[in-house]
Amino acid sequence: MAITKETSIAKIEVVGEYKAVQIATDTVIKEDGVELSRSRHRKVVHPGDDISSEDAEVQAVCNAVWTDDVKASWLTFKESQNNL
Amino acid sequence: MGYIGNTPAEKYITLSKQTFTPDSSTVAFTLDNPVANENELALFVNNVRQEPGSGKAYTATGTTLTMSEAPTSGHAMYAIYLGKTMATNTPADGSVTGAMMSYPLTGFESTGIDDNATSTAITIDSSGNLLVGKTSSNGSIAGAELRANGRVFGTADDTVPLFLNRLTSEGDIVTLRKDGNEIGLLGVDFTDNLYISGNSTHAGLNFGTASVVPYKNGDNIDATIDWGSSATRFKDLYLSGSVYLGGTGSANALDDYEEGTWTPTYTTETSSFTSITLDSDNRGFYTKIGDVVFAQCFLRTDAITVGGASGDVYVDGFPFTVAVEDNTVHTAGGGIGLSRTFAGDVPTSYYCIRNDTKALLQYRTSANGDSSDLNVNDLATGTNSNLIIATFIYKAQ
Repeated sequence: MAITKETSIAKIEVVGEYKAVQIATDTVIKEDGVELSRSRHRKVVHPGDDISSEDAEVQAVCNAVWTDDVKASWLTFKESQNNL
Repeated sequence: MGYIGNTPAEKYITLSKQTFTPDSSTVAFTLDNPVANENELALFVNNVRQEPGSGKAYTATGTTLTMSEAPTSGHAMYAIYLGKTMATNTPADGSVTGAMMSYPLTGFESTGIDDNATSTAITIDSSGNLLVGKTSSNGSIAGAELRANGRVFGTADDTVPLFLNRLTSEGDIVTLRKDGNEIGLLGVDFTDNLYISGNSTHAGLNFGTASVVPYKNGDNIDATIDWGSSATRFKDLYLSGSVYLGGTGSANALDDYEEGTWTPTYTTETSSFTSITLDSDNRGFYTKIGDVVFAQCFLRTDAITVGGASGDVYVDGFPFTVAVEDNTVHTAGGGIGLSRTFAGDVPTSYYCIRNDTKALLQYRTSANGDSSDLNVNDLATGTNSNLIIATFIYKAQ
């Protein structure tokens, strides 16, 4: 009887004007190859965030959509975001 | 016809006659039937019987009749075949016994049946089962069976065992009955849609090009048939699209449901903490229903090195980006369930930052006072500090 734990990226979603990248990571527990449970963890990264520790696939998506214009727009937005 | 002695078996003999046309020169004539010798023929010329034999009137062998001299033209000349009798034997009704037959019959053919003289084509076994393509009754053996008890078996190896083809019109292809009453139908409707239907009062399904729709009493039917029931439910339902509840428009579409975890943390308005250590009890759970996110958290820190961080304090790390309902204002906010062990003001509420994944914490200095933004200076830096328990509710992008 072998219990294994596998983690994989289930979704990479690019949302919004500022190209936020939503990452869904699934953790799957298996017994002899049969899935016992699956759980999902989510996080979101924004233009300019440190993505060096992210999966290469995530980095590729971020680098593709985070153009200089997007990054600049995001910074401008952040500076004004908490003004009601 | 009278007989002396015993009546022979049903046998009637017809003597065959052949007429010749003499021309005063021909002595050799061709017989219709071969003979062994001239004694098998009775030859008449002008109704006078001629004597057979060599040196007599004629000889014959095979199909050649040779006259000793050429009969005169115009004389009547004919022969009666004595050695060749033509018989038509008709067995009496019911007189042919099995022993009189030669088995197996080969090349059997009638107006309606032709076995093509192949190997065994049809077997009727001792139980009265009709077997085609096999010689024993067994549903696991390829071939067709019509069993005496009414069961029908079609067994085919590596191909379709049952082929039903309705020509020309739409309608039922199979009808299913119980005690003679119709209880189910398989057929074709709307040119080429398969339907599976109960009787006229029961539910069915129609299989269209890109949809399966409810079907009843020979037609598609709207908003009448349930899928499952309160006591007899289906188990799981897997969809890649939306569920439409209460209407069929986009506003009625429930297009997503998801549960999971997220990692809540504190961030600030400008710059980042030099370091922040989250407590081991830190938890974040979320449920997303449609585009609404319910993000719960237990957030506590064990150490914060503020460094250059300054300004307002946020709970950050939401699992989904906050929607932009309006380009000028934030629209999602709520209360903090529990907050304690802060160094200064204590957050009591929050509002979510559109286009971002965080909420700005708020505090109030009086019961009816305005809320203000929590500041970095309000955070404690020691262990088991800055605890909040909250549920952030917002619409996601």
